[in-house]
Amino acid sequence: MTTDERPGNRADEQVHMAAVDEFLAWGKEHSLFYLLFATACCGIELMQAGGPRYDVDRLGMIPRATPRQADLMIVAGTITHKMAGRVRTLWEQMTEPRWVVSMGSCANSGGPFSKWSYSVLNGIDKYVPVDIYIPGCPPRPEALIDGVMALRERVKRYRTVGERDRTPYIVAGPEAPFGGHCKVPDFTAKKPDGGGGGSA
Amino acid sequence: MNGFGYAVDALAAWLAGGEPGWIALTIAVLAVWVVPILLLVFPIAALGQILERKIAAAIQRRVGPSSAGLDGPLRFGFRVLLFFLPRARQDRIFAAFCNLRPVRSLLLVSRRLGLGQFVADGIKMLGKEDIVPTGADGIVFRLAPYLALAGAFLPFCVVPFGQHLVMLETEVAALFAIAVSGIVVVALKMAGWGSGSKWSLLGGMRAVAQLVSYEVPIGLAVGGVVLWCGTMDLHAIVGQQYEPGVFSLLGWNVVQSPFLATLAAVFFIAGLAECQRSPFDMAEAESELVSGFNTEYSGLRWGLFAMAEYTEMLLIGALLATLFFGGYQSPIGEEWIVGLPVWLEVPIHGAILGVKVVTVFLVMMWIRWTLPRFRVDQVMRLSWLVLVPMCLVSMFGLAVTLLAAGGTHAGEAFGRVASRPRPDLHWLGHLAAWAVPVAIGACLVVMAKKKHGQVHPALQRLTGGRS
Amino acid sequence: MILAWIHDVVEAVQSCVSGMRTTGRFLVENLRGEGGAMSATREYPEQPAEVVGDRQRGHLVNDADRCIVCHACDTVCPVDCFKMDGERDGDNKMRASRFDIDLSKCIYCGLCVRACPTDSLSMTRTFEMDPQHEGKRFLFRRNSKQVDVRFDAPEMERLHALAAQPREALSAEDRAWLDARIDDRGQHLIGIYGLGFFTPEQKAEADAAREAKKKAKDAAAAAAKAKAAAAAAAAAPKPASVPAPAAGATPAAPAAPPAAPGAPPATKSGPDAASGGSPTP
Repeated sequence: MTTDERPGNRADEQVHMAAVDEFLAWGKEHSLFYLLFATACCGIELMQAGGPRYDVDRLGMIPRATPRQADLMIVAGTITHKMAGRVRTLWEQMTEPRWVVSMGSCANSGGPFSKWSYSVLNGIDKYVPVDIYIPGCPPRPEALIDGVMALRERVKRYRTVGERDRTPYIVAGPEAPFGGHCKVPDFTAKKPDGGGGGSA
Repeated sequence: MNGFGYAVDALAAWLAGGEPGWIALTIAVLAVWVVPILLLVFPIAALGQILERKIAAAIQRRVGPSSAGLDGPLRFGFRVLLFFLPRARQDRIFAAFCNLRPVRSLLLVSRRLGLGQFVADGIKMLGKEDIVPTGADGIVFRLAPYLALAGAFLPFCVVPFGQHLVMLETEVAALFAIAVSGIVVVALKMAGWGSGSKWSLLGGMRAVAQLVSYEVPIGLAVGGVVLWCGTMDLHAIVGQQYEPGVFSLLGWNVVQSPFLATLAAVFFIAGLAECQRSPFDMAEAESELVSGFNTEYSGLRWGLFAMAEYTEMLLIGALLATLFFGGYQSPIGEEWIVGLPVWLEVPIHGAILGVKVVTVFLVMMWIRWTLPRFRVDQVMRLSWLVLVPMCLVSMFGLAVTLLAAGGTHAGEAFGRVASRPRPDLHWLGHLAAWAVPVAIGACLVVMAKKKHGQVHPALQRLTGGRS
Repeated sequence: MILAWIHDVVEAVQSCVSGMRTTGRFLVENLRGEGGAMSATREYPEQPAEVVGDRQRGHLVNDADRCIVCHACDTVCPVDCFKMDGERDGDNKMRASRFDIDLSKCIYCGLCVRACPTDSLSMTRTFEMDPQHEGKRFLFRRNSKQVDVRFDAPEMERLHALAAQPREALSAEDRAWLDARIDDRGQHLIGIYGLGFFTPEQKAEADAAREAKKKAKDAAAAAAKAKAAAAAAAAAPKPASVPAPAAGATPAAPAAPPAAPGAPPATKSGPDAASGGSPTP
């Protein structure tokens, strides 16, 4: 089911707030600040993408050090079980609307460590909802830009009116990370508490 | 009473229908002065951001923002204007409009230059979730960005933009500017404390330490100018720098004395630190504190902080130009501007000041993308052990120069600004005022080089002795 | 002390100025170059992606016509990213009925390409997954159970055909089928699974490259064979001269005989030609 057919959306377009919404989406699309965060060799490619050769600043993307000001988390690199909780925390601290890109095989599925490693998380999507997966080991900066372009297509369709589609996305039961020893994060929570409670 | 003062009074009288009360006056001041200034400075500060990103890109041999053009805002404008049409029709009309040749090329150019980038950033921040963390002190946290912005904007009301374009002509304008911009210190401290986060707190502490330290050299630099001009009124200081004839450049404070030039340099460096700009961005050191005092700020509040930073850069530029670089005066004679009618003269003067401000702005960016960050102790050291002694020496030198001049004569009146007494230096005296300190300074530098550093061989032969 | 202070200040000013001269030069040069002509940036979505070298490993693709489902790739794969099934066709040859490559797991090491006996697996030189290239890229529904999205050849063809049409033109059944596979809404995997990756041009190119490679391989093999034969033929007349020094005190130096002045001219190896020129009798 595409976004346009989502119940209520057609009606939204009859409302003239839709124009504002479209304008907001345009702004979001052209101003994806990404979180300065990388764990492994994909991080090198991420830095390359920010460097003069590939220059994601062209697309309006600049790195922000604090998750509060970031729109996009690029999970670049191997995520160990220990790190995963921190990634989750960072994601919770980001402000809506936020997006997650999983970059490289390690973040996608554990990659080379998926089979035998005891310490590596098999796919960051067990912890945070991922919007775009970028294959590669590591992906070239062009591939990252390619993924960002695909993400921008999604961002363009993002509407404030109506509910954001964020289906629960967790392997529960026997496939849970740590074999059930850890607390399984609850994606169904209505509002992630950004380090705490109320909003303005 | 200047032209804008009349406008304020007239509007207030019209609003009140008689003797204006304070409400009518407030509304009139807002309408005549505050809103236009906001409308002027906000876009300039916003454009400063995109300018900075483009300059950073050029320095790093990149392209810089080049995907967001003006098509988004334009489409929005069409949607709003043609609200009575169905969506598809709006799209068709917009596409047809964009296909017009001049519009298309204009859109392409705007996209290449990334002109829509600040619009995109701005509306994205509007749409971001606004988080107040649990541990935060709600009121303090919410108030801080507005206070920072106020501290950055308020000093503009004593900056003369033109002969008739001064909001507040007061005897203590320079003091007012420094004092009011001190609000920023409080705001940053509030942001750091109110966030309830260790990074913010550390950033806030650093910001306060740094800002308070650098108020001292700024105050001393302004003090030097006040000593030289004998007044604190910024508009009178501008008038003091007036020199009849084509070479009005020679009247500027910065060429009056090497000590004033030194003070200008000190003012610039300390101003850089006041703006929290690199290499003085201790307060939001990204590699040490996550983002310093604004770690917990998101969305529009953070945008306000960024806006305050850029506004403060503009302010430092404006003050530097006013105090040392002749304010709104042109470097190639003033007679041809002052005589013009007001509606022509005010924009020209404003544009000249704008050019000076933007130049300072550009140099600040150039510095930011060149120099690495100082360490905390180095920042303090620079203020207390380098800039403050420099200021003191310069003030002493200025005082000695004034003593040697031994008297004043009545200067020329500059347009609306009344004439003021000036130091009684003839061209020979000016020459001496430059030659003597420069000679002493050069001797000191050579001695220092000989003792502690490497000296060019020719210079070494000339001065004899070992290096 | 004052002199040291002055020296510090002067040094600081000098170093700042030299640094700012460098960046200032960059700035001016870059601004002067038209449209950032001096910049090092490669504007990827507008300009084509960079191909680094002949051995660049972009994406892994499988030519199903050649695949014999021998599981060699599966055996050698360090991450188990293959899933395949085979069936026998009319000639009793094995053919892939389904062949999935989990691009999210694949680490693009290229081991499977080396192991492949029929050259059906190959790495592309570009990773081109540009969203502007419609029809080449599909977004697949994926869950964190590491994907059991499977497509066989007919399904892939159907996918291509359906995706090429506008959504409104599809029947309800087709739409449901597509929705079950292509996710336009949830989590995405950019990439191309298994079959059906090639466009005709790409396929022709890959075929040509493969032919060229095979030809080169054959030619190299033939040359090697010919050389071996020649060497054997050359070695045959001089069995008497070689063993004599070899049987002496230096068994570890088979290169010794050519150094002897009395060596026969039959050996055409490098050092000999270099040292002795043309020792024609």
